[in-house]
Amino acid sequence: MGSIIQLDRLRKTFPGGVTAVDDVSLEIEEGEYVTLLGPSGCGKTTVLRMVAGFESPNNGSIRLAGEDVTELPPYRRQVNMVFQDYALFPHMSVSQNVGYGLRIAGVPKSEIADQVRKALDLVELTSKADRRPNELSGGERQRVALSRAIIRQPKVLLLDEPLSALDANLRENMRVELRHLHQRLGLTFVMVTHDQTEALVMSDRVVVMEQGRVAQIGTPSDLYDHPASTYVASFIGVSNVLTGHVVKSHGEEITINYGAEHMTAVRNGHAYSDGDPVCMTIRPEKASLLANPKSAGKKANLLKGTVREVLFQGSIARASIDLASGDTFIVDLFLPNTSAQSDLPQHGSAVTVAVEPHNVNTFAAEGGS
Amino acid sequence: MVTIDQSDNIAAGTRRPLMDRIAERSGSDFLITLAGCVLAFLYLPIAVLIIFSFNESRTLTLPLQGFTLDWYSKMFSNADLLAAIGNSLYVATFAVSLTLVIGIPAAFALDRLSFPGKTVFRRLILMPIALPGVITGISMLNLFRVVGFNLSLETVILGHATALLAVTVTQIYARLQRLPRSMEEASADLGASPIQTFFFVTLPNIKAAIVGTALICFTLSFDEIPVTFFLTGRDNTLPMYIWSTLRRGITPEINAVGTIIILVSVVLIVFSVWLLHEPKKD
Amino acid sequence: MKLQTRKRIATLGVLSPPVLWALIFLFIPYLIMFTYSFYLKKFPTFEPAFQFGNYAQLVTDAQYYQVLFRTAKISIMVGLFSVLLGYPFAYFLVFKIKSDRVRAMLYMAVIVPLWVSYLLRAYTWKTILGSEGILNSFLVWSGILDAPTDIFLYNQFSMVVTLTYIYVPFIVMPAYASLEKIPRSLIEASKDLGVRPLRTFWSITLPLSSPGIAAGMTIAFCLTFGDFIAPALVGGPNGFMIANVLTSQFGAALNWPLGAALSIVTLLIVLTIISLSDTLQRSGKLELE
Repeated sequence: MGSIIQLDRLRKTFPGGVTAVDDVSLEIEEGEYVTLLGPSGCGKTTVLRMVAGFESPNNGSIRLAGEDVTELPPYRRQVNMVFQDYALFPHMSVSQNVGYGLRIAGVPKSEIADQVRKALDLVELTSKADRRPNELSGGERQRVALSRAIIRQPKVLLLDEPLSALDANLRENMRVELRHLHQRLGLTFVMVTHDQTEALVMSDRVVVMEQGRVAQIGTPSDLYDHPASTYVASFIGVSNVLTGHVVKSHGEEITINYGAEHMTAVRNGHAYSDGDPVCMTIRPEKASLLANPKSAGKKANLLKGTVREVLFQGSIARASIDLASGDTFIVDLFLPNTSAQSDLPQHGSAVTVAVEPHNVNTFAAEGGS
Repeated sequence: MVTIDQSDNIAAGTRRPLMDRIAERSGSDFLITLAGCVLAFLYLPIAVLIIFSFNESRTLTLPLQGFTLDWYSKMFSNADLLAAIGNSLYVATFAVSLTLVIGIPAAFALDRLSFPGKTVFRRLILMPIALPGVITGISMLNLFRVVGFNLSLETVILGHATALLAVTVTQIYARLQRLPRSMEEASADLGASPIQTFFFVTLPNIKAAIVGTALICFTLSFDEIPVTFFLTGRDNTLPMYIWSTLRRGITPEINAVGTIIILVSVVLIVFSVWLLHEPKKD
Repeated sequence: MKLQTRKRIATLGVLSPPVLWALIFLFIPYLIMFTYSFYLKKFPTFEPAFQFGNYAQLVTDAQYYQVLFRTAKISIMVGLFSVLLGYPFAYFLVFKIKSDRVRAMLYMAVIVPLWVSYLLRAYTWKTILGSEGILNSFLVWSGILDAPTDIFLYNQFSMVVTLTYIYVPFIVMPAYASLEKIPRSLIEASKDLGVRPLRTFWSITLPLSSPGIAAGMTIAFCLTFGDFIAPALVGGPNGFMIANVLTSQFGAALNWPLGAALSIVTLLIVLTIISLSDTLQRSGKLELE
């Protein structure tokens, strides 16, 4: 297999001095579904547009299936894109839109008709072949854009916020459909989104971007369980972030001084020296509340606090705990069908938060604070 | 006490809205009257122009004398007038073609490209829309004198094309701004070269705007005096011909010409409105 | 070929025809005009020089500065009267007409006259206002006047009427656009708070639509300022405007340097008005946000 896209030290500065992409290197394997995730302005779309050829980088190179395409115009690159606004041609019918790429390539008419039918079949739009784009619903337009982009069998399919223009219900269906389409076609998909759920649900790997740089690359579960910075931790899901100092390393475990307490965490590949400032992130659902500290596992970290409030959210209840250190700690309480709402901890009651060491993710604190 | 207070309040509460309603009603009446007057003001002269083209009397006075088509037959046998119409058609056709050939790339450049001196270029090209036509005419006359061009219908064409450039660029630029850039990117993405993209995607989408602009420019050129006044040689365009006969005196023949022009203009408007609305339904 | 080079060549291809055109037919002519304005008149032509005599003459010779003042006065009046007619009409279309179709039709009705020959519309006013014209014959026929009067034509009144007639649509268009943009909720909120309709108009609608009024007035002012047809057709001896003076300097009077200086002054006045109105409209737009 091998990598289909190699981005090497890409940099893009726009006239006016804004550096949108700053030293981004990335390899994408053939057949992968990779998502660039980040807030607007983080440079993810610019990376995608550079791969497509709409922007040329100031620095660095882009390789596509081994070939350097950095200087090739978009129409010479074997990648196709699904645009955020779909960019369907309003003066052409659905089938003309889908067949456009083949018509440009000089494919005979009968073959175009054939392939268009297949492509429309794939997205279940055969009945709308003669409609104009403005006669279609948002979801249908999206599918036209998709089939138009895949008809030339590109090496890579680029998707720029493909679901952002759809309403919430449709968006959830399309997440699954896109994922299925990816599996069926076996193409490499590179998607840009600002929606973390989308990224986690759909992708094999997620590239989290921050201010033009890659903040972290990993599988969805990697990023969720082991965020490498507070930025990633807070961007993906909800996390409790606590800061402390490394007191002692022993084998796979490290002991961290947090406020007046000592906490144990798993090293997880990080190398720390004693005294290093360190950040701990703990997911709300990986902690539990104990009425009786003695019932905890032997190794569990125990933090004392008082309940500030509990918000009932259906399948879970989210408790905010004021810790002795002054931080607020969030714990998700699962509500099995037997428990009544009256069983929930009350405001002001003293509780203990328990977290197993392997659920404490650590990374070196930024800026040494 | 309490009941009196309440009734007072109720009275005050109903009286004010009533006054307001009267005020609003009379405001509406005033507006309707005024709108009627504006429309009458706009159309009365046009009506007068048309009516008197069918009036027997040589002078344009009331009461009307009787129906005649004489002025039309006079007009069609007037060789100078017909030649002027021919000249105007010639000038307008070529001026419009030139202004489109220059104006469309100019609008493109202003919308899509960044280049040094862009602001100066924009200001320069839009100048004739704000400046008196006389000044455009005189300054071009200076140029032709300096380089030793003889004045002719062709210099008029150059003058009109330059003056109309501002209109063309504004119109096409406005259309391009509303055209999502992603459409052209999609075309390039699907393998089309810039030239293919222009002909297959951009042009079909701005076609209506181009035709609309061409029609506007055609009517403007067909009616143009200030620039023509300075740049024409021995040949007269239609408005110049009318202009020169007007100075000699008024005849209903002019009304006949005017009526025909109005008729043609209305046909052109209906045509362009139809063109601009037909292809798009959203 | 590098992507950047390719782009540069394409840019050059698209750009050079219009840029060359603008250079040859706009920039150089204006430059020549500017140079001429410093030349000396020498019958029957002129000779190169660098002196400010022509500009000085414009300021000192009553004949010229009076024409400038008169042109400005008439332009302002035309602007004002056009707004007085055009703005309420636009207001009526936006707020009082309930049916979209009727509104579109009435809007078109205002625009259509623009397509009808300007010369012919100005000419018609001559036939209406003249001493043998329709207005006079109507007044005599109906007994209001004993004999035709010549007070209607060949004066500033007839010019203002004719020009206002021509520029009303130019006010309706921008006024309509800016009135349409005002969120209805603002006006409803004002009414909801118990503000009277007239107060609502003065404190909400009018200020928010002022950019449109400014745009329209600027167009009417600038176009009137350089108008050449109306003064020649319906203006009398005291109706001479700048364009007519320009015409005679480059024609019968054969004083090109003076004409050039007057052109430059006109150009500066018009450009100043436009940039003033631009800043005004921009600040007005900021208020809306």
